[in-house]
Amino acid sequence: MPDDNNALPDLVELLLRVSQTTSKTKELEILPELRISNATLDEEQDRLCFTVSLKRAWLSLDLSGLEPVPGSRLGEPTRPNEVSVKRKTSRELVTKNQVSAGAGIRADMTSASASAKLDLGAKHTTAGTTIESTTSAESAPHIRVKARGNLMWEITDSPQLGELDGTFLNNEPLCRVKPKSGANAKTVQMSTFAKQRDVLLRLQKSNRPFPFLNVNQERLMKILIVKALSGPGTKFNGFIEFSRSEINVED
Amino acid sequence: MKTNITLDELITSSVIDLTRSFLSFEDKNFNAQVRFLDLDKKTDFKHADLAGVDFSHSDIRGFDFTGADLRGATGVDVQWDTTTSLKGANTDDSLFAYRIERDRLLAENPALAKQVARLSKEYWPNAILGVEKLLRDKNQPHRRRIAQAVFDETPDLVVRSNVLLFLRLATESGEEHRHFIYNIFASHGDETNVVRAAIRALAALYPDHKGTLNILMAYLDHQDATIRNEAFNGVLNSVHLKSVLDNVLPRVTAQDNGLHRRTLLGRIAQMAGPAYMAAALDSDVANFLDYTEIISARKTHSMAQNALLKEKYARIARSRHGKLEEGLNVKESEINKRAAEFQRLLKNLREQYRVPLRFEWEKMKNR
Repeated sequence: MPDDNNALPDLVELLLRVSQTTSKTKELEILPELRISNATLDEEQDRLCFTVSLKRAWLSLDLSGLEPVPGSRLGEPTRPNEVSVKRKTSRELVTKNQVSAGAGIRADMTSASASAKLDLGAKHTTAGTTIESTTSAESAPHIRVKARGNLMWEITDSPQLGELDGTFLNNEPLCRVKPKSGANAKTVQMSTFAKQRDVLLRLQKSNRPFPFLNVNQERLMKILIVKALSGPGTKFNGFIEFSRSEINVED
Repeated sequence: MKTNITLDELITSSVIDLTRSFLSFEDKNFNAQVRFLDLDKKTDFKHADLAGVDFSHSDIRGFDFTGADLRGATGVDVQWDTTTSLKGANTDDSLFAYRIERDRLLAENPALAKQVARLSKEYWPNAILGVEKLLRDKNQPHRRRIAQAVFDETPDLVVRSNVLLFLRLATESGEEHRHFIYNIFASHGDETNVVRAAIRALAALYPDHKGTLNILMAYLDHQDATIRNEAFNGVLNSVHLKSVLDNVLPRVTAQDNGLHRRTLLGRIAQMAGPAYMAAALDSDVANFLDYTEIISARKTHSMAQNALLKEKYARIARSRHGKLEEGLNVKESEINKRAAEFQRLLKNLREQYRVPLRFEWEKMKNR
């Protein structure tokens, strides 16, 4: 029976299911649903409106008595083994005026002044220059749910880290796992979290962006709000866990 | 199953109350703001978004900025050391960038560290000439880094000032040079002459850089008048002046410095457009108007007449066929029309940019 806990389902909702692939291999598919949007708090007293959203989130999988099946993770950013590289070599003659300067500067901002010699010389030279440029052409699609090490997945909307808004996983296999030999209890745990620098906070007053007095005020206000979002009784350390799901797998 | 947890259960009324009072908290000091919000320096700043934060006059020793975004964070007179954790933090273009890079280089190259120690202890003319020679040595790939490290290590003000100027000539990358200057502000905030030289270099070389403006703004309230003056000059020439205009205008107005007021009105007129530039130009002093002086109708008449004459001269010079006598002859109606236009544009400047321009004709009307 899955146990899904979402601290703020308007902002992040994670639902976790597992499904047996075939009875022969005893492999399980991890099937999460992940929805991310924004959450708003309206303060009627002075018409302050806080909107919280994310620009990057992380999905973390913890396995007990189970291990991932190699090559089964969703969103592997596998680097192609071959890339096309163009090399262009050209030789050109460059005529340049070389100016050599011995820097002698009086320090006008000090009580004691230091003077040194100033010598300027110029010579006209013609030099042969070989220019070599190498370009490698490679295009890679943006992977929104990208597999990372340590059984983690990074969720982003675009390379520019736009606001996350939508369903990023919809019951599709995130990876396959198989029982470890001799394991008794088998548990799948999954959590969604974000670093506080990846939280976006919009503050409005009377439907207009709030004019912060300075950058410090804006940044520290965000820390205060994000810390509150991490929940009471939680030791805040820059991360906010939004969801935690757990399934005990029975034989 | 449907759950009804919403944001107000986490962001409680006590948090909102604190938010509300913080929004009207005017102290800009980072330490004061952290105290006000009762934030924990050991945990609350990990992975934080602190891009562009101003750490001026703050003690950030013991703060843990692990994984934080500190890009563009600046500050003057900042106390930080090895207890300030910057592990995994993004420190590009910040006051931290230079020192992190320097420490890494010297740790990896003990011979360079020795050279720095030797030059720093030399008698000042020898140290200056040693640095100058070093900067000319094209075979030494770390010559600028060594010179910068000498700047940090030497206790001699003359050596420091000279190294700063030499580096201005020798540094190719603007970013690297800026990092070095940011470090000067953070570490040598109590040395007036060095700070002045650094402000001047920063304002002259990087007027289009937002970080420069942040630094200059931090010096507008400095206790030393020469530093304040240098900072005002830099702010008034910044490409990003418009973003801080609300803050700068009242300060310049309150000053005794008429030149700053004239420069500021010129920059505001420049933002508004060429017609406004012409309307704000005080042709009697070949500078822009000092907006604290009452502007009379006679003044705008004189400005209009001079502007029209200038235009006529320019036309004659271009056409070759014109006669000087014709150029000198400007109809009174034309001058009055231009003067009225100037008055209208100056009123616009007052309304749009809140420049406290005062007009004699309005006073007379009120009477």
